[in-house]
Amino acid sequence: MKQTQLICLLFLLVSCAQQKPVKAEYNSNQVKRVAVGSFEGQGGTAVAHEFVKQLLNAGFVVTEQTAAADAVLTGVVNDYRPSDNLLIFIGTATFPAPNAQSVEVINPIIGSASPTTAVAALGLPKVQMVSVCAGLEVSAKLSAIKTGTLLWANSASYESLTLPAAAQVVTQELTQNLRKKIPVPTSVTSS
Amino acid sequence: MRLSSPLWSIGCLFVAGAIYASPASTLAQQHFLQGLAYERLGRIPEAYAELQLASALSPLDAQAALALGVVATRLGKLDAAQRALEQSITLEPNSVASYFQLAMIYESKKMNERALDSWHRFVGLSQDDLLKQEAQKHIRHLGTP
Repeated sequence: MKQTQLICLLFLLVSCAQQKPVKAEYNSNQVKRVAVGSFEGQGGTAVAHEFVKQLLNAGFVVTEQTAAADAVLTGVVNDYRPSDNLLIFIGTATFPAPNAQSVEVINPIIGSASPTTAVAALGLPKVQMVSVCAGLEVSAKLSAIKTGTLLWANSASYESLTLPAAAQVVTQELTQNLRKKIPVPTSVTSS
Repeated sequence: MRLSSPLWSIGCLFVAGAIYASPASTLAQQHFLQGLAYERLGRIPEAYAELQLASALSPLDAQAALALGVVATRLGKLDAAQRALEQSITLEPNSVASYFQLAMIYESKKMNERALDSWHRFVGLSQDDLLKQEAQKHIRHLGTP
């Protein structure tokens, strides 16, 4: 009987010893309310508004006042392209292929940031058109208000026909990523 | 060859068709070029009108359909753009720009499965590495439940 008790005690001690230490300074469950702060750069205000919408949709409790929140979401609009021109060449172009042969491409489209590809084309058709789309890149971070601890940070970019559509996808992706790190509170008591 | 033989009849029809089609196709080509000229000047509504005429006069012209689709997209006429671009890939199934434009339109209209298909076709056909990376990002986004 004593031997069994000793084995149980040893097992208990070993089990306790294997537990990972929990950081005392931060517990993601402490984040109950989130405030959306300022987003620097062009289009920052629109991005902040879109974040409020996405956070509410994701189930976060969003407060107007930063003082009433546990954490604040801020960020920067790194890239704001309301009309990004893409060149469409109407006809057949020949591009060099990695295996030293060439590839024929019908009606190629080339991005404004892709000059090397355009130069690499052996023969681009003379007939050109411009296709316009919008692009956005946002970096966001969540900080604890009391301690200033950085709780989460990430960035995302997207292209769409319009800037609001691109902003919607960018903020949605970031909010989904945030939700994986910071659990959405099941209930919040008023304070 | 006897004049009543079927081969003679087919030949006559072909020549008559070519003679008949010639003025219309010339006119369509004129409207097509006029449309492209307006597009280059940034006069998109005029370009749209010209390219609509070009496409109506030459409904089997994949290039006119593509040009109409691109201009219609710029004007925000997404239904017209979708129809024109779908017509362009029916006539020219390897038209790279058509898949790019269509993918963007399908995404805007929340037609995610069609958008995914168009992005995959674009990645398979395009030679622009940056745009292919962009397309992969769209595929990842649309593939996320």
